[in-house]
Amino acid sequence: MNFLFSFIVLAEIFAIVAISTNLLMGVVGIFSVAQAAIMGCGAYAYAVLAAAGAPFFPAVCGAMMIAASLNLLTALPSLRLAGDYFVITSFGTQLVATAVFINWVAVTGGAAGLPGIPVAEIFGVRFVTAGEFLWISTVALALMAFSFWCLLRSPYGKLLHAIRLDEIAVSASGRKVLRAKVGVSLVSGAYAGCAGALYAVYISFIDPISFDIHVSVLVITMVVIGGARTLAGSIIGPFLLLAIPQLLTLLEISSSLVGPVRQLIFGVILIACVLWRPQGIAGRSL
Amino acid sequence: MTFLDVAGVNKKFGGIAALTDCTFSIRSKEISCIVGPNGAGKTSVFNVITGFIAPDTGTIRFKGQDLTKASRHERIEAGIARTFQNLRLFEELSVMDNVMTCLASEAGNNPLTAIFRPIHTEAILRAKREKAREFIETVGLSHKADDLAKNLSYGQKKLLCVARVLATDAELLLLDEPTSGLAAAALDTMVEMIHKLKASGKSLLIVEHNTQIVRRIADEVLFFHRGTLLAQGKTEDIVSDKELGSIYFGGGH
Repeated sequence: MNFLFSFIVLAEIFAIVAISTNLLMGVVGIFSVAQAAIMGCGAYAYAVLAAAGAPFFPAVCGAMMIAASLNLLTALPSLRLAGDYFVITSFGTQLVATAVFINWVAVTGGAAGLPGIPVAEIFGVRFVTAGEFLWISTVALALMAFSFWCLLRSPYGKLLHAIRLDEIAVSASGRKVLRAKVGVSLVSGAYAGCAGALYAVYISFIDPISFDIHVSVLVITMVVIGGARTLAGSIIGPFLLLAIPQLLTLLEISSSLVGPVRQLIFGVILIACVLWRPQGIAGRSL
Repeated sequence: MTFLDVAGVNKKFGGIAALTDCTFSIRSKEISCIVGPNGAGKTSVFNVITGFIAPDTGTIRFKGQDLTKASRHERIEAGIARTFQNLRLFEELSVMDNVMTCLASEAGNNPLTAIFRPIHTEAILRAKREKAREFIETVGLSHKADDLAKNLSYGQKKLLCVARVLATDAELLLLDEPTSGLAAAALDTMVEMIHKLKASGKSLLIVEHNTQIVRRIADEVLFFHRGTLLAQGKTEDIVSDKELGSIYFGGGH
């Protein structure tokens, strides 16, 4: 049972990152491969705040704010760039972030990581096991999902879609494109920061590998397969892709094969998606 | 009273002069048509007025306000909005959302309000829909309000462009070839629409190729050639001018 709960908790945490990525990539069309870096900033920020004695809620909020600011700061110089150029700069952000996680030993613990992040405690209740932590991750996902839904429904959400479809037409109608993008960077960064904080507190150990480029690519794959621009897509993707390695452990294959087989299955699913369902399982072509 | 004044505008792209000492004014509450052969600088004039290209020299003044260095949204706030020759609709959005996105009000265009005040935002959304519906009705697309823009006919798409530019509440509307590519019936609808806009107090500056249409809509005609204003005057005088006619239809230089 704990095995299942643990899977759901992780999937829910990644669903929050997927929502963050979906907002940036699916809705506004800002293609970022630095999502794991921003999530990592949230995780390390949480770990440092918690180590300094901050209680759970303030530490999560702090992590969200720090991740949001860093996301904006790293994105701001390139937000003016059209579409695909952003990929390059976000790639740079990801590499720099990983380098900082590894080398800023005093704060991040370097390559060895930060162990012993304290258990979440809310009003004296401790959330130790996966089954207990499931409450926190579920409520967090529900809150983020609801806010994502509200955002997309609002006039601001329509504006974000319009920016993806034709930025020039948006500016010709008197809207401030840059301001809208700044807003979306903050929100997306806050989502990723929240996921990072939850990850840190749940696993209780973080290291640079947990937030490297492969994780960014995994999250993008989740959004592509789950479906861009929909809430359901951001939730189906992580559950499906995280289930695959879990299911593989149930099969009798040698441990040296598990990694390659997992990559093989991801690849096949991705190709199948591109061929038969380019908008993703629950995506909208909108 | 001066309305729109373009004075001494020059614009070169590399070695090619798009606009050369371009100077003209148009009056308020009139329909002014820009005509001229291909490459005469008609769309460049639009781009300079609306801030899509910055002139090398010269000034743009609107109702006495210097807009030469103003940003695009400042120009719209000042009261100048445009359409595009290639429409630039948000094809994957509904007719309603296309118009709603262009409304003058910035209400609800804020992520924090959207997330933390969902009920308030819902009220803003409803109010904006009501407002957008008026403009959709004005151009006669009410029955298509919930259709995606990409599913409209070409004529309907052009009307949607008009609805969008109306939504900005601008006083001066710059329409880039509003009738091009339209079949007879749609063309009549558009001409009617243009007259209706004028009657409602809007001023219009229109790029138009078809001299028949120019006769039907224009109060005044500005004839452009090689990036500069060659003649400006009453429609009949310009359209029936033999020399201008020969430039327009090729041949004369």
